[in-house]
This record gives sequence, structure tokens and C-alpha cells, in this order.
Amino acid sequence: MNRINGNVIASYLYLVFFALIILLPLLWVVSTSLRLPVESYSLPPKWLPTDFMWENYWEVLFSYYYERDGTFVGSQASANVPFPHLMLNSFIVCFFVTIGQVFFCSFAGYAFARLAFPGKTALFWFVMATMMIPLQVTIIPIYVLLSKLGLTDSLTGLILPAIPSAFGTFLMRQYYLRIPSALEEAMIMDGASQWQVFWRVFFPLATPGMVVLAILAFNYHWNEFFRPLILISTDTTFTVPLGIVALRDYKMTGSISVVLAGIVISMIPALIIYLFGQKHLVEGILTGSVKG
Amino acid sequence: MLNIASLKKTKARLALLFVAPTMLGILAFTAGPIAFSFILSLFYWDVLSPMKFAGLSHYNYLLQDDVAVTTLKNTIYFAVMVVILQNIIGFSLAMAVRNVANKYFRYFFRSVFFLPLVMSGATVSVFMAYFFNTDFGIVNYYLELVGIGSVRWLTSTQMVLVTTVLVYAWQHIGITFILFLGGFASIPEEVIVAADIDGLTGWRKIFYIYVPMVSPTIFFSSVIGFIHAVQVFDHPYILTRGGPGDANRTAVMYIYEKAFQDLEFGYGSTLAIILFLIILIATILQFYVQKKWVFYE
Repeated sequence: MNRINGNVIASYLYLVFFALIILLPLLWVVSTSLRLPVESYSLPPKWLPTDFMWENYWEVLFSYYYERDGTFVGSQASANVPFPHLMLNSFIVCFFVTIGQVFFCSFAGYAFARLAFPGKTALFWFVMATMMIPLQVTIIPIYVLLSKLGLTDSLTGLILPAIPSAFGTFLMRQYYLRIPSALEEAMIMDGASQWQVFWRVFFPLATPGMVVLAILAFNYHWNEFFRPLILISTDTTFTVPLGIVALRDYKMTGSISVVLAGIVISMIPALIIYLFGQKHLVEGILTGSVKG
Repeated sequence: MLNIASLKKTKARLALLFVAPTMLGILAFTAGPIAFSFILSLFYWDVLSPMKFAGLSHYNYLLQDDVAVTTLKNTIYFAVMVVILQNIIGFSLAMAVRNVANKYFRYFFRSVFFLPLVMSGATVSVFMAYFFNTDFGIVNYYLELVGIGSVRWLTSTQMVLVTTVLVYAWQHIGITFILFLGGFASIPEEVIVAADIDGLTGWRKIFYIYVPMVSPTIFFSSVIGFIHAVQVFDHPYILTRGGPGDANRTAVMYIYEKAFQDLEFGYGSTLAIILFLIILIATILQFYVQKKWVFYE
């Protein structure tokens, strides 16, 4: 009995230790984002917020456009990034990629799960095989293609190649396979067309799969850095992670609390997803870990 | 009869309509590009002037290119360290969570370990760079306090890749943790009871019962972790831009620099193809071993 209690206590200590390793840096980020920039590196470190310099948030959000006294200076090359632009750009990219993936992967996934057509098995293996090809390996031709189309340095160039998703097709197929086929037969008996069977029955029933796919797609593209770094060059077309890194490079070791304020703002959408969609995220990542 | 035949036909037509957009998209943005990468790797091309056939000279040059060899070594070294660290931490955390009886505590720990996964590798690397700063960083402050002294986390060629491993593992520990949680849950209760009856305890129980029983998970999380880790870019790029020297330069970073900074698209593609082959081998390995593993889940 003693030994079991010892194990339990040791387990708790171990878990708390690792939980602190995860949480303390985040706590420091939030606390320091509210501190005077000159005190951001103060040692010993203060983990809890001591000051509430909301001006840091004002600066990261608006100093690209406005002087402190409120006069509009216009978009200009200042030591700052147009943060509202970045947020809007990221939202636009995430929104269209997510909607596009949900629709097109639903179509393709349904066909692979429920319809018979010539070449189905071969095409499905083709999809599975492309799932393991990482973006990093194909980025050079993608860049060449997009620049031929005149789509580099544009949000369209970020959105368009991200919509066709082998992983999304695979994920949606798994969901359509779970739906019992009795429903389909009953509807066909009643004289419904193939399209009606899909649109009225299967599409709505696959909503859980779409939620998982939407959450993963949104979160992935909200955080994405590599592709925007290569494709985007104008600061008003930057997405949020690009902007954070640019801001970090402008500020050097100067006002890191302003950079941290930007980081805190950038994490809000991801945190909302995390709070409300953790279950779906876990499920998606487990399915996704099959993919390379 | 006629009815069924026409039904089949409309089904096939609808199916082709449904798969066409995604198939064309994958062709244009994944399958086409990988084929084009192969072709590009046989040419000299700086985008501005016309392509010039190079044969295998890029592949020959790669073997003599010290930086390429270093980046590949760094990448493999990085991935192996990540895999080992994540397996040990993921295994032990999942093990420890099993001892937590309270449902809410269990949920709390799970949520915490999962939290960094929803963040951007870019922003995590930005604030972790502040943390591991040699002079002002918090990590060194505490190390000096306990008498270990300050470590040049991001400025020493010996340490920088290790630091990148720590930052990367910090962010991704949730995946291995969840995988092991699933692995442990699939161990039949009888096995554990039998081990208890035989009087196995502590480390012996861990090494004779738990480790072999979750060996498919260990294998799976290792291959998956390896495949993901060899693609690393954000963390080493943002932490130190690959420096000092080439100590933190990974394969993808070198592809990026060769192609998009030096405009050597041919050589960049050659490097990309090598990385692709590494991932391909790992994927094939996973595919076959997983098929053979009878008691997987």
C-alpha cells in the first residue's frame, strides 16, 4: 500500500513538473507583454504580471499607422509591422482554405467512400501516396508555377495551392465509410437522385469530420510560416507569423515586451480553437499522424 | 436491368465530378511539382536565364559540398535526438497519468501537454530565443543560481542544435504523449494482473511488461516523429538563422537558401529530392513493419 502511494505521489510530482515547464514560459510571455519595455529582461524573472502596460498592445497594433499622439502617419516603413493587416490577411487565408478544403474534400472523400467509378482504387492509392510528400520538397516548383501565374506575393497564391488536400480527402473518406448504407438504399427506393442522396443525407451526416478538418486546416494555416516566408514579400500582405518574426528582427533586444504583446494577440484564435475544439484536434492529429 | 445500368452510370459520372477538382489540384500542386523537382535536379537554372542540362553533376557536387553534408547530418542528428527525447518523455508522462485517479486532474494534465501544439512554431521560437539568451535569459539565470553556470544555448556550435531539439520537443510532446496514452489503454488488463501476481514491480515491471506491450507505439511514434522532424525549418531558422556557422542549419533551411537566396533552383531541387528519399524510406519502413505487427491496437 505504501509503495502504491509512493508511486502516485511521484507521478503527481513528475506531471506537475512538466506542466510547469509548459505553462511557466507562457505565463512569462503574458506577464512580460504587459511590462515596461526596459524591464522586459529584468532578472530575477518576474513570472506574474506586475505592471499593466497596455500601451505595448497599442504600439504593436497601431504604431505602424499612428504616432503616439494620435496623428495618422500613413503606411510607411517604420520599425513596426501593420498588425491589423496581418490579422486580416491570416483570417482571409484561413477562411478560404478551410471552406475550400471542407467542400472539395467532402466531395472527393464521398466519391472514394461511397461511389463506384473506373480507376477508383488506383486514384485512391495515388491520393495516399501524395499524402507523404512534404511541402518542403515541392516548394520550388510551386513557387515557379505561382510566379508564372503571377500569384506570388498575393493571398490567392497562398490560398489556392492549399485547398486540394490529400489528407483531407482521406479524413473525409473515413467519416463517410462510417455512415450506414441502409439510408442510401431507402432514399434511392423513394426515387431520390444520387446528388440528393449525397446532399441531403451524407453531406450533413459527415459534419463531425468536417469540423475536425476545419479546425486542423484553420489552425495549421494560422500558424504556417514556411510557405508565406517564400511566397510573400510585401509587409501589408504578410500573415501573422511572418509579421511576428519581422517585428522581432526590427526590435532586436530592445522592446521585447512589444513583440510579446504581438505574440499574445496572435495566439488568441489558436487558443479559442484549443478551448472549444480540443477533442476534435486530438482526433485530427491522431488521424493526421498517419500522414508523413 | 436497364435501370441499374443507368444508375451505375450516373454514380460514376457524379464520382468523377466529385474527385476531379481535388485530383487536378493534387496533380498541379503535389504530384506535378515532385516530378518537376526530379527534372529540375538535372538542370542548371537561376530562373532568369534558360535552363541548361546538368546531368548528375548536382548529385556529384552534393557529395563534395561540405555544407550539404553538414546540413544532412544536422537534420538526422536533430531528428534522432527529438525521437529519443519525445519517446522517453511521452512514455513516462503517459505512464504517470495512469496513476492519476481523479478524472479532472487527468484532463488538466492532458490539456496542458497538448497546449503548445496549437501554437505556431514561429512564435514559439521567438519567445524561446529570449528564454535561452546567454546573458539575459531566464534559463541561464536559474542555472547560475543552482551553481551550474551559464550555458551558451544559442551561440555555441555544440549546444545550438540541442537547444533547438529542446524547443521543438517542448512544442510537440503532446503528440507522443497521446500516442502512448492510447498504447497503454490497449494493454489487456490480464497482462498487468498477471505481472502483479508474479510480483513484478517498479523498473522491472516497466521494462518487462509495459515497454514490450507498447513496442508498436514506440515504433510508430518514432517513425512519425522522425518523418516530421527531418522537415524542420521554423525553429532553427528563427532561433539562430542556422548559426553559429552551420551548426543549426538543417536540410530544409539549406534548400531554402540555395533556391530562394542564391537562385540555384537546380541544386535546391537536388537537395529536396535527397530529403524526399529519406522520408520515402522511413514511410516504406513504417508501412511494412506496421503490417507485420499483429497485435497493433
